[in-house]
Amino acid sequence: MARTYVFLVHGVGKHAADTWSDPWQRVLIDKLRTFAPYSRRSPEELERESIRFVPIGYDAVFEGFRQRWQNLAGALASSDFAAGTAAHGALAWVADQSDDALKNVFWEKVLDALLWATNPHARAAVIARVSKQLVDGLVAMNEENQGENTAHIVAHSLGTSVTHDALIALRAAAGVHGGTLEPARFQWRSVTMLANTSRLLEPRFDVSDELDPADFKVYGSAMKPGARSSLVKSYTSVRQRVDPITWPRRFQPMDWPNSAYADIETVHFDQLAGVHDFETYVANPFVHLPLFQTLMGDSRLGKPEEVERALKDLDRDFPRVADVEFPQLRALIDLDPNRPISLRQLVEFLVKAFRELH
Amino acid sequence: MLLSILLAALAQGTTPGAEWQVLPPESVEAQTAFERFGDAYSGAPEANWKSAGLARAWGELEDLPATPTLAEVSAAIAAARARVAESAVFDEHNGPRIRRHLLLEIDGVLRAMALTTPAPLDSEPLDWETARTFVSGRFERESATLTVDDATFVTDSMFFAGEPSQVVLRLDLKSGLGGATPFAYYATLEQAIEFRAAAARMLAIFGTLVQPQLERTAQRLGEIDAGWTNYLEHGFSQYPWESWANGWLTDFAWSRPPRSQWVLLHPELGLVFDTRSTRSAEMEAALLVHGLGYVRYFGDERDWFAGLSATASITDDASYGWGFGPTLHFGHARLASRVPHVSVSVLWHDFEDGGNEPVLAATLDLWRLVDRGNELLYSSRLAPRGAP
Repeated sequence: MARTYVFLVHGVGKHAADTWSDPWQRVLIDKLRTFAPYSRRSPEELERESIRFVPIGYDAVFEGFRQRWQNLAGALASSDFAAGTAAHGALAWVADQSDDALKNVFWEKVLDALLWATNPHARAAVIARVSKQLVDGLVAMNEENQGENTAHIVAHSLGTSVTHDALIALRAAAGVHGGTLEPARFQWRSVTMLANTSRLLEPRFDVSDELDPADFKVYGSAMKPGARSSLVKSYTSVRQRVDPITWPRRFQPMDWPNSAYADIETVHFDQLAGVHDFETYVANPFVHLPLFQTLMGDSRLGKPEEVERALKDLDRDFPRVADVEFPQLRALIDLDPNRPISLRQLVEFLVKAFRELH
Repeated sequence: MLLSILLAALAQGTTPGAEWQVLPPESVEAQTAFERFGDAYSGAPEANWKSAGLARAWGELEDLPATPTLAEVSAAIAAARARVAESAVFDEHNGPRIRRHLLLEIDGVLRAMALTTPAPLDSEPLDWETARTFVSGRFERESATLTVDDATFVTDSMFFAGEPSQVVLRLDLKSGLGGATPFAYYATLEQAIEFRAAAARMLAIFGTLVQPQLERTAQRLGEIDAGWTNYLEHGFSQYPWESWANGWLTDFAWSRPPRSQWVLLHPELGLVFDTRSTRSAEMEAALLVHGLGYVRYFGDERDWFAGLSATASITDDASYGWGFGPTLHFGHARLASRVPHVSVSVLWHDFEDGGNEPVLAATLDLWRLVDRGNELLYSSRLAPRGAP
């Protein structure tokens, strides 16, 4: 027998090493169990026989920076040492804030995105950390599944950009993998990006021996599905319309093939603070049913009565529908997805957005 | 019309003029065995079809050893081929074509194996460089979606997609959010099970060949990750401005952690030993600032480093005046949690008494050891004297 391997990639912030993905796994299993034939099985049975979650963490790389740098926050913002670096303006903006809550949001969450976007060593180290865990998972999968590929990725928020770059960089490093990860031999069965930031956080510098920064441009990279040279067999991008993190430089490819790419926009929510949460994204049947059909390789999953019940649950649990929430955040940025955004502007937007979110 | 377009696109691949016999869903799904083994047409991880008698019979084929020779691999694939060629389940409906397509693919692998140059010795384990010439993901099941006008069709059991040998076991109709509904079958249940068993056998053979190289890849990535951890977390500490500068000044890639590190305006607390008198060595706390320096890392995992900086120093004791001189840095990443990195300086201070002989200074990389509170520590040192 083979299990479906689902690699889970987290977003910004510190995550408890062994337990951060537990709530993610729980909501996925709970929702999977609303559909036959999985409704007959206990969560333990499902995890033992059908699905294996592989949490992919990289926050420890940022944690090393966070602990030491926070002590020097004031010095960094005013120092001539840092002047001229891409992040200086952003750090100066943070230092100018009198609201400690905003500063805390920056140090606890937005710093990760800033380091990923501006610090070449941090970005490279994260790619290395993620690549190692991905391949560790593939080793286990290949052995357990006797060569059958059941590898899927579900990434959230910053994790979408991290996943994109890690997959691109890893595939290109033939000297490391010896050709095992070339598309002719291996393609990820699916990648699902929730609150996709991969376009917003495209690299501005070189972190690969084999590729140029242009090769990481998300619309034209090897992640574009539907070709034999693609890294993935199918790609789904999910956006909650109210989620402000998805607004700047929205991921919205126009020429990707419908046969292998799906763009899902959800509108239901309950609390505004929860619109960016993984659980909010996945609890929506417009997200989890197609996801499960892909993960379990079964397009017939979801009987009419099960779907009807799922939609009722959606209306009950997420009774509000997107309108023009967060007007103060909308005023901060140009919502045209093709307009560039400065780093300082982005940091201010992310800090103020994450302050409104969990 | 719709059906013919669909079949041309999905089922026939690029074979001109070929037509597939459509098996009505009712006829296939009415079989008693369908309820249990019908997942042969999908990718359900349980794969109940593997416990069907037809699939279990494939288990009689001998397993490959962990490190097989080319001859052993060749024999295993030939055995799978023979089983497909002789299988009676492919004798009816679309069976002959399904068998032909499957054999075409298996023969492709055997041909590629025969072309390996130089041919490895039969008695030697097959190395990855040889295996990679014929190992592929071609026998994997594919899912596909096709929209024609307003209708959307899906399949979870497409093989050899886009090739002349393309095979689709089943096609469903998809509408709205719910599950797809039956549309057409192109293989009987027995054919689907036999086909899946053959494909699984090929994948298992390839999986055996890939596994050692995947493990080597994981090991190499472990070294790379350790290299980054040692460089960033256990190496000579970097202030934020140094980190950004080193991001642009050092030669590295994600798969090749840097071997170098520039030291730029790097303050450290240390002790200056006034060794001018051989009878009484005085010791003074000092702030040392490494103005410019260079550190080199050694070992595959950047285990240890050594470096040199140009350093300025100032102490609380005004009689010491300013000091300048070179500093050597040493550290070992694996010992970093127990033994701090050490810097040793030879400094020429502008003593008030007119002396200008060198003194020794030593610093521990306290920044690395004590993360929090450093700013206050430095501030208190700097406050009375002003930074250099």
